[in-house]
Amino acid sequence: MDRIIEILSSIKSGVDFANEDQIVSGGILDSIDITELITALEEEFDIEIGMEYMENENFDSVEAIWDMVQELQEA
Amino acid sequence: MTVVSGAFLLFLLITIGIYYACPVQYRWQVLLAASLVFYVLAGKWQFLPCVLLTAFVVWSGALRLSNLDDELKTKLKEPGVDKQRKKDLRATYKSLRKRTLIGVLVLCIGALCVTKFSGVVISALEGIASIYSQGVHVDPTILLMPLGISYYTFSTVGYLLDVYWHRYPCEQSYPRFLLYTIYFPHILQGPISRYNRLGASLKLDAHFDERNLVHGGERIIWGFFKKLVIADRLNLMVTTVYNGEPHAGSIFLVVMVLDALMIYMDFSGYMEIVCGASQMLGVELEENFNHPFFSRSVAEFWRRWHMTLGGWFKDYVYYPVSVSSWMKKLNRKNAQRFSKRVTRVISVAIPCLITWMLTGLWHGTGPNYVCWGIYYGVLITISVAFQEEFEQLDEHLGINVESRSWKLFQMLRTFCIFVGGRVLTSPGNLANTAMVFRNIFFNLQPWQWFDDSIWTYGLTRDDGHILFISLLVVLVVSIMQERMSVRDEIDRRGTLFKWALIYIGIIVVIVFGVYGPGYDAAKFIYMQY
Repeated sequence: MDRIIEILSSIKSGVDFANEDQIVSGGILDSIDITELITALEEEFDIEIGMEYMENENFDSVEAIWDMVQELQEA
Repeated sequence: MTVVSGAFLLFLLITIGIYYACPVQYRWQVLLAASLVFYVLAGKWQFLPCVLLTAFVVWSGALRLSNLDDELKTKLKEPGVDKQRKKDLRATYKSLRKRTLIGVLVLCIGALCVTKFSGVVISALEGIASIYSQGVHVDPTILLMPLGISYYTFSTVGYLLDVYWHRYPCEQSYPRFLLYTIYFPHILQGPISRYNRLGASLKLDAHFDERNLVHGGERIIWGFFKKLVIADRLNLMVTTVYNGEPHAGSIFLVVMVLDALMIYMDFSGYMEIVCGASQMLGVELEENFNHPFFSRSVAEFWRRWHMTLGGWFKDYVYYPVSVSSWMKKLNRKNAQRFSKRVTRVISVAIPCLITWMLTGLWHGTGPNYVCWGIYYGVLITISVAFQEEFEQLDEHLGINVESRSWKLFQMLRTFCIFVGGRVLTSPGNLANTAMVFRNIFFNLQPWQWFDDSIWTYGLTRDDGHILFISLLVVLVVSIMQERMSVRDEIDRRGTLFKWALIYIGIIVVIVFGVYGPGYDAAKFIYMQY
């Protein structure tokens, strides 16, 4: 999860991502940031994030992102 | 019948009466019947089969996708299916699902394109025929342009893609899906509702709630005020000046601003009316506006203006393009060839330009709408590509980016950019846009701002006063809405205060609404899309 926080911080600095639960629905990351995040996650964890995962709840908190990454790694 | 009419209010009252008089389990059927009647009354009965057919094609397509999933699951569970067979089955069903999706998309988007582009194609053919001295004229009334086709096509296509991406299960009942498609508050001009939100809301058993009736009614009056008192009054001057004839640049500058205010009042006024009408029926519609003129950047503006269309393009065009395999491949290649910065700019620019070009074409098929799309695509790409430089510049100039004056400057800058975009499309075509700019730069005549010339373009001095006060009221209410729920605040002030405001609102709309000669309430600007 630390790596996810690092990736998020490299996209947008000055946000306490560890304690944030509305990263996308709260407007912290916009659509351009999200595509950057997806590219970084895919490279870092060797996964492919399909359109079925492109929903706010999968990106709203570090835990949600981590759950999605684990699910994709297990698939 | 238009939503700004006595006929609509009567229709709404009758619908509400029958709706709440019926047992809860039959209420959705009342809404379906009312929506079918409304659609016929709002346009021509010939349009109805187009909507029924689109809804049927999408509903059956989604059902087929769901059935294919079930079939695959059953086959995978059959005894004796080895790993290779499972892999083959998955590939086969993936291909079948894809073919189903493409088939339905071609039918729906194809129908939309035929209605949108047929006028352009016919004009071009007439032009070619005239070159060869063949006088060919096609009667434009033969073109069928079903009301709300852009809106219901997007709503239903969004649903189909969501089912394809397994975001939620498909709807089993065609009448239920038809209600979602044709639900009368959203069929003509949106909001472009998502099935998992509106469909779910339509399935809830709506119980009678006096608060919903009163709050919905308040919104309708507020919408009538925005549309009839402000938008239609502004429209008098805008249509007088944007008539293809040259005027002083100073007049064009005034009209550019008034036109931007007019489209906001027109479209957001419509949304207030339909959201209010839907609330009276206990069904929540998605919001389309969130005080866009308070935005500090263009990107923020488009997250607050026509939000359901922006959200649609983001979810069904921008993201699929951004995360597509060819885009990822291109990004990887670019990363080897160019610097990290250039790669990032390209990865943003391509999906942005595609999205904005399509947004432009959704609004209109002329070259001015293509330019409009490029205008926003380029602006947003620049704002992302040079974000670091802009931040460094702010720092270098010692600007306190959180100060009130800077925020106000950013809002004004965003408003000016929006006005710049409007002037590409509002005058009708690019030749008229060029004429507007020619007059602004070479024929300004600024004294026309100070003598009485301005009152010779469709508006009187009294209209000016009414507009000034009305716009001030909207501004104050918008500032309050940014900080609190105005309707809850009105409720807190007591029944007398609330009803006094409602009656004042009704009287203001009746007295100050524009109902003069040439007035046509049917012409909501966004209905043409």
